[in-house]
Amino acid sequence: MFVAIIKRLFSSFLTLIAIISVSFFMMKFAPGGPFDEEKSPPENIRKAIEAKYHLDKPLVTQYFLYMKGLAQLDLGPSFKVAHLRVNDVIAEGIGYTLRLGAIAMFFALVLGMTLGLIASLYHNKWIDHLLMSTAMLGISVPNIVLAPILLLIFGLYYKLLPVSGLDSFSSYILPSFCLSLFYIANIARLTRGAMLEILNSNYIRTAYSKGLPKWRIVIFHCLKPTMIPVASYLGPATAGMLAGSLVIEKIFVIPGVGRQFVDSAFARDYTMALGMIIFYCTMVVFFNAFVDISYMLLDPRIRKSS
Amino acid sequence: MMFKNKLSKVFTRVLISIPVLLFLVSNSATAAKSKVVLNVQNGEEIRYLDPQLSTGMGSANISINLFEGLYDYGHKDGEPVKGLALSHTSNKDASVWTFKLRKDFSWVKYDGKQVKKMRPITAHDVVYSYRRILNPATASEYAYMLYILKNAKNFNKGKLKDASKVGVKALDDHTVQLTLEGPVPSLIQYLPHHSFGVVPKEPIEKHKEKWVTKGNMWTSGAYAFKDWLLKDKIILVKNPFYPEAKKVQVDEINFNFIGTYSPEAVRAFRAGKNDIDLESPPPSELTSLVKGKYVKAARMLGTYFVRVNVNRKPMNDARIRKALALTIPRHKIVKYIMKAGEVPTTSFVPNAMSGYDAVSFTDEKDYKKNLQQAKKLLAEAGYPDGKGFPKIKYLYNTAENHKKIAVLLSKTWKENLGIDVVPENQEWKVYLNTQKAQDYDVSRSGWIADMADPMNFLEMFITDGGNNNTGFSSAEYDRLISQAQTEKDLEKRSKIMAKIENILMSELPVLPIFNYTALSLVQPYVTGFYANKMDQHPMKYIKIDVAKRKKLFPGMHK
Repeated sequence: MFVAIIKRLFSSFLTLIAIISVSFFMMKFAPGGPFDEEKSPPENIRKAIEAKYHLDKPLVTQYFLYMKGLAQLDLGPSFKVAHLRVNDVIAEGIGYTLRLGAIAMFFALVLGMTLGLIASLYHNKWIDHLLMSTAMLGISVPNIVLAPILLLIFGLYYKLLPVSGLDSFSSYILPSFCLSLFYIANIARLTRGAMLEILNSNYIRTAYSKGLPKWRIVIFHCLKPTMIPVASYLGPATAGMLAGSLVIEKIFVIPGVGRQFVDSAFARDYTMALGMIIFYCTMVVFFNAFVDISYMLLDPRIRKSS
Repeated sequence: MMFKNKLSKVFTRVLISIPVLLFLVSNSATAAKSKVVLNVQNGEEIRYLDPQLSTGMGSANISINLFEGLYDYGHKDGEPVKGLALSHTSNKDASVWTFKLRKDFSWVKYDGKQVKKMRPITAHDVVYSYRRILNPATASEYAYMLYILKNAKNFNKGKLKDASKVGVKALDDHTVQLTLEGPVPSLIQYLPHHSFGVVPKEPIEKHKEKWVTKGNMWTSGAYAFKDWLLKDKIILVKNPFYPEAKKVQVDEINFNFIGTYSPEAVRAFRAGKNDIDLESPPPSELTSLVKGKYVKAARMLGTYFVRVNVNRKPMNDARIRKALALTIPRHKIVKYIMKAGEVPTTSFVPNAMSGYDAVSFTDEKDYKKNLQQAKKLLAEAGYPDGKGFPKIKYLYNTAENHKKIAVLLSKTWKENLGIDVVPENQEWKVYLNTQKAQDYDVSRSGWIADMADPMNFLEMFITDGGNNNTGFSSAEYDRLISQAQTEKDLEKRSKIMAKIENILMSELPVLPIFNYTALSLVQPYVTGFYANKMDQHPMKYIKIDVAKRKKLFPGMHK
């Protein structure tokens, strides 16, 4: 089991190296550079600036310089904000993004699983139909539609919640709800499906026949196996939530790394965009590995086969 | 029993602490109340806070509050007003200028708690600053603005190593002399620009490029630098040592970064999060904002135009370019697309330049007559009704307005001239690259003046100029430009520039469309804000009716 985990982590590491290398060259091949503006600077000044950032060196040399820095966990200087290093930028923004993501994930898990459980226990009753059709709505309405509508209602019309920033407790409500809605809906559907399957399985029937009370069966015998599909969804869900935070951070004007990511790509801030890619990919790759490892812990069959 | 005792102890402690807490809270609340905070939306995050390195309007918006130049922009009309300078004299041909400096300006620093006085500003600071921006190692993109100083260009290009040969000298502690390459009667117009900003030597030498960070930065303006929260805001605090500090009402300014043409910014403005928004709102929001009387607009020294690649067939024929120019529905564009009071123009240099009459490519005001002439020109060029005219592409960078204009132009050219122009959008940096490589047929463009001088527009199209990008080249044009650059007599210079624009407007490598307006959103409780042609807004003049603001946005200002 320990060997399996090490193996899994090592392959994640290789994936990361590949992603970094590919993105490095892709970005350099994109037309335009960080110092292109409508008013172009004089040639000698441009050269001086480029030399400062090693942009005058051959691409391969730039690549090795970058990887060398990376090995020392140095993501380099930002091209956009002159006096900053990418590490500092990520350090400043990461708090906002992670806090938002964690709250949204908490919402998604608690609400999603609760609603899914309720729906499965009232299978084919009106409450089940109501919950599942609402869930469908949550899946189909994208954030870019939902968030402005909620902002209009709660922010501008009733003036109950702030429209931007993350500076008070109430300012977390709308963005984290918008970010998690899709996942609440998905997790509810997954939980319901898994529960229904398990409720019809032989060992549950045995448990009933032994005369165990329903609450005991649901909590001790059904809950753990229902978590397997939910857990396997957590990897992609975290990745999706991180990607979704790009949109949410933009709409709610949150100074997290998501906004930084989009803007740095448009600005051709090479080091910053790469830093963001590395950050996001590490999260996604790590979460996927985490999910695989948690499988081993949750399901005895997978544990044995590995 | 013991448990009960403990519980009651905790209970009394809580009881005691409540009034204490309440007192603390109310105390800090009253302290916060007396502090007037101004929130300004300033577009995307800026790149440089160092005025000598800064390139965009966003940086300038902030740095004019932090640094005092010899001259500053007046807040009402954008014309230069005295800053550090007390008076100036110049020699007969306006090539040597002497400035007396005020003695009551100091460098200050915010140390985390309060603003501290560092030392007085002297003429040596001016000398240090001008040498620094021209130093090739500084790599300032705006260093060329100082090329009017003697030897400045050679020093900046690295051909001259001795900085003391640059034409800036301190005659004594409070007198500075500028020796120019030639006569520049309009020198004062240059001086408010941030490239002429005066910066402090000590922190720059000590902290290098980190001198613009918290706790390191020295400033001289009405405000001092407090903090920069990434992707969020830059905070300035009032400088109590500023000579006119008593007249300044606002104690703290947040320059918030949301975006340009951003619906999020408009939402924040409507919710009262921002008192002033210096950036343009999305055009779709304009009508309702104008109705609410939030919009302040002034005609800017900037032109929206189309670049034509004069090396490509069939646009290498000036008649075709003129036909294209005559057909542009300028009034429709400003009325239905731009909507912010932009002015249609048929000249390249904006009409609002004082002391200069812009040259138009057509005198005919009637659009229908212009259309007839366009058709005639097209036929003369060998493409009657557009027959045989190859399909060409109209390049623009991805944005709502540019797209609408592209579609309208394409439709108009098709309907009236019978030629196919396909709109093609590219992301900003790709677009810049394509334009620079001259890999386009026609391309939308814009230019905004760095200073109120027509030369700023005309110089662009010298042969192989860094911003020419059209392939246009004329020996006569280049000759007249260098003639105008050294002409002492203002009236004669103006005449030469008119000749230059006349060449540009008969050759038409650029098709002018309209002059930009500077747009800002201002809440009704804010006074002292004026739209001006340089789009410069020093915040020291801003006054807020605090009670009115609180009434309008009670949730925002408790």
